[in-house]
Parts: sequence; C-alpha cells; structure tokens
Amino acid sequence: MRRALPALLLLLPTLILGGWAATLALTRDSRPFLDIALRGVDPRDLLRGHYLTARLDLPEIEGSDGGAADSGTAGAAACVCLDPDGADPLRPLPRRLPSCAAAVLARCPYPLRDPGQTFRLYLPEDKAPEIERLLRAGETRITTRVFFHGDGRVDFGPPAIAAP
Amino acid sequence: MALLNRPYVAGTMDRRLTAWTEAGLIDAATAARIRAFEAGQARPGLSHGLAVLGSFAMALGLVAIISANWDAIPVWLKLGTHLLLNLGLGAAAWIWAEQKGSLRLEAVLLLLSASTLALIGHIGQSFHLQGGPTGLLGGWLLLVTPFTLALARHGLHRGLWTLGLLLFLGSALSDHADRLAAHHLFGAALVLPMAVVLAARIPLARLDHGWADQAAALGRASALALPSLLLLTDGFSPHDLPDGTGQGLLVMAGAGILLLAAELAAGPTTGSADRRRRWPLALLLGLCPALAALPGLIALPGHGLAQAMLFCLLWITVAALSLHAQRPGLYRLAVTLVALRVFIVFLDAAAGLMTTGLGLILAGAVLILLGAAARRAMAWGRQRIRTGEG
Repeated sequence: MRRALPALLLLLPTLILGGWAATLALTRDSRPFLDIALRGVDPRDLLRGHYLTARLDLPEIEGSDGGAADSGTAGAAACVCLDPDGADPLRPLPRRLPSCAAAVLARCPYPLRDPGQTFRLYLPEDKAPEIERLLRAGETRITTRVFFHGDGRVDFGPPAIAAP
Repeated sequence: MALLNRPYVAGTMDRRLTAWTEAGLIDAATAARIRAFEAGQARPGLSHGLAVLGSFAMALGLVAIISANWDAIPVWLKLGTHLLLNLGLGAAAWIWAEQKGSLRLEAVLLLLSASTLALIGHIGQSFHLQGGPTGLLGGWLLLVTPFTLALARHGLHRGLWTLGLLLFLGSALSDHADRLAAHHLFGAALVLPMAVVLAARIPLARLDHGWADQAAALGRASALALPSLLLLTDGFSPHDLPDGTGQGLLVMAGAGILLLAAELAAGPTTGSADRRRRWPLALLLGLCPALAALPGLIALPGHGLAQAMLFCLLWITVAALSLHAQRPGLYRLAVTLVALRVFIVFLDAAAGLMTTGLGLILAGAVLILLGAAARRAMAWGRQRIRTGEG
C-alpha cells in the first residue's frame, strides 16, 4: 500500500493526459466537418509565437452589420447554421438561428456559436514566411477543417493551403 | 561529490573557528571537535544545486524541442513518444520514491513536472485547442501538485511550483476581473488565495516543514507587499479608484493585514507572557487597514502625508514584529523602507526647492540624517535581537 500511493500519484497524471489525447483524436474523427477558408489571417503574430490568428471566412449574414464576423448582440454570442455552398465550397453560407438552445442546434448539421470568434492555429515555423508571402500576393487561401460538436462548439484541424 | 565542498570546510569554516578561538569565544578543544564534526558531514549543497539546475535546463530543452517544428513527424508518434517519456520519468521517480530529498529523486521529479506541462501544451498544439494560459497552468497544477507535495523536498522545486501557482492565480484573475468586479467579488478573489496559502501551512507542517515554511512566507509576503504597494501609490483613496476593481484592492489590502494580525494574535506562542506581548502589536497591525482607509473615505486634507504615515506605521509594526521573531533581515528591510518613505515625503514637500542650491543642500542633509537614524535603529535592533529582548 505504501508503494501503491506514490505509483498512483506519479503515473496517473500521464495516464489521464494519454486518455485525454486519445479521446480528442477518436471523437474528433467521428464528428461532421467542413473545410472552410480563413480570413483576417496574421501569419506571424509575434506575441503568440508560431500561432496563426484567424477567423472563418464566411459570407455576410443577412441583416447583420459586420458579416459573419458579427458575433450577435452584445453579451450573447449568436449561433448560426452553416450550409455548404456549391459555388464556393470553402465558404459555407451562415444562416442565423433563432437561439442557441440545444433543440434548435440539434436541427442543424453544422451549428456554430459565435461565428466571428478569433482563434489560433499552430503553424510550423518553416512554413510561416512562405504562407505570409503567398497571402500577401493573393496567390493562395488558407483553409482549416472545422469539426462540429453539434452544440455550437467546434474543433479545428491544421491549417492548409488551398488554390485561390 | 562531497569533495567539491571540502575547501569550504578547510577554508571558511577553519578561518572562522580560528577567529572565534582567538577571540576567546570557544576553546581549542571545542574548535577541534567542531572541525572533526564538520569534516565528517557530507555537504551535498553545491552538487545538489548544480544537478537540480542541470535537470531544469534539460526540462526547458525538452519543452523547446516539443514546441519546435516537428510537423514532419505524425502527431500520434510525437504524442506517443512524449507519453512514454513521461511514464518512464514517473516509473523512475516511483523506484526512488523512498529516498526523499535525494538528488536523483528531486531531479527526476523536476523533469516529470516540466514534461507534464510540456505534454499538456503538446496536446493543445496537436489538436489546435483554443485554451489559454489559465487552463494550461490549472491543468498542470491539478496533475503535478499531489506528487510534488508528497515527494519533492528541494527549495528550487518548491519555488518553481509556487511560481506556477502565482502565474495561474494572476492569469485566472485577469481572465475574470471584469465579472468579479461587477459582482464586488474582486477583493474576495484576491484575499481568498492569500488566506488559503496562510492556512495551508498548518496541514503542510505535518507533511514537510519546508512546504509549511514556504506557504507561511508566501502568505505573509503577499499580505505585506500588496498593501505596501497600494500605500506607496494612491490605492487607498477610494474616490480615485475605478469601480469594483479599486474597492476590491482596498478590501484585499485591509484583509491581508488583518490576516497577519489574526495570525499574530492566535498563532503558537512560547507562553502567556509571549501572548501578552503580542497583543498590542496585533492590535496595531489590525488597526492599519481602518486607519489607511480613513483619509480616502472622509477626504482629509493632506491625504498624501496620511498615506506616508500609514506606510511608516505598517512597517514600524513589521520592524517590531521582526524583533520579536528574531529576524534581523526583515528588521533591516523595515527600517530601510521607513527611511526611504520619509525621504520621499521630504522630496514631495520640497519639490519647488529642489532646483535651487539650498534645496539640494537640505536634501543632502536630510539624507545624511536619515541614514544616521536608520543606522542607529539597526544597531539598536541588532542589540535587542542578540540579547533576545525582541
């Protein structure tokens, strides 16, 4: 018993982290996803190291001021449903949902809470300057795979370069 | 390893013993016995410190490698390798867990702790998770605190864990500052960790005295330093403070000093005479927050001077307490701070004069007088500590 407690204290943290990583990998692969273009990209945000800060490049929502980047009314994040657009597969069409209630979100295959949120994606150091150059020249688009939890939350895949 | 420290025994210690023998403080036989005793003592201090620093550097290197560009390697391989490394470190620490305080256990625990932090970051990076430093540090504390408290005994390890705790608290407060201030809970959120840390030294004392002492020192230092900083600035004037945050700081500063006063009044004593001697000091310390808030609340004229007097009152009390606790270093710090504050008062009052020759002469004279007074106060305190009259 005296040897069991230290073993528990020393090995359990790593086992918990291993379980967490496995859960993240397994659940993410089973979620519905869309590949979406990014905008507002700062390829080298120096304050955040090798992280790219971005927003999803979504068309403007009807009746809003700031396009899909508009996060809804102050104090309450808006929820939208993304409908794939055949004309531009990387820019699905956001449709404002009446509320963020679970029952409303459940009726949408790709529900997204706060579509204007800024997020960070890890960017390998050696790719950052090239991506920055391509973006400035307008020669490329950056996309990410967005995995939908179904309750408005999303996970992200690694950033990828798409043809313009 | 102990050979590294031989020169210390043969050098500094030998010279001190010779000086003490020549001064008649100890006789030659006692000096010889001390020399023999010290020569037989293994002193792992330097080697211990170097090994721990080496481990820390290795841990930092590990963090750097994992954070660097590994995009050519599949995620599962990177994470799997990191998990195996962590399990290996955990297993090594388990094998040596009985040797508390040993160099190898301390080093491997430090590596495991740093590697666990890096692993959380590594998972976050691999899955592009959107959490911030609060989540990272909170998760790390949750996972490493049990084994760190149970097995780590080195001061450096304790210090790094404490740094992580402070960074986590600062980050969590920063994340929720607006919401806490809106509910008038900012002060409570600042005081609560301080009180918990101070109280934690009691259960920690049963585990290890090093951890208990660290908790007590951290609690007291934050309870003293934060009000002092507020008194040095304009923090004790509620009219000037922005909404709930400023009031929260006021609550925190007052509660911090009250905590110290309560600890002084109710803490362990060496007898009833000791208890009686503590009460006036505890009362004085306990009155500081109320006195400090007064000038701001009723807008007295000479607010700056009142703040300075309260700062001096607080640190004079600390000086008295440090005499009582036989802590010469803290006593010297208190005397120095009081002298500096008095000089700042003079500079404020004579700001217009300072561009003239007379003003400079006056400032120099005040500085010399303060220096002499501080020197006398320190000598007086040293004498009282030496004779045990604190």
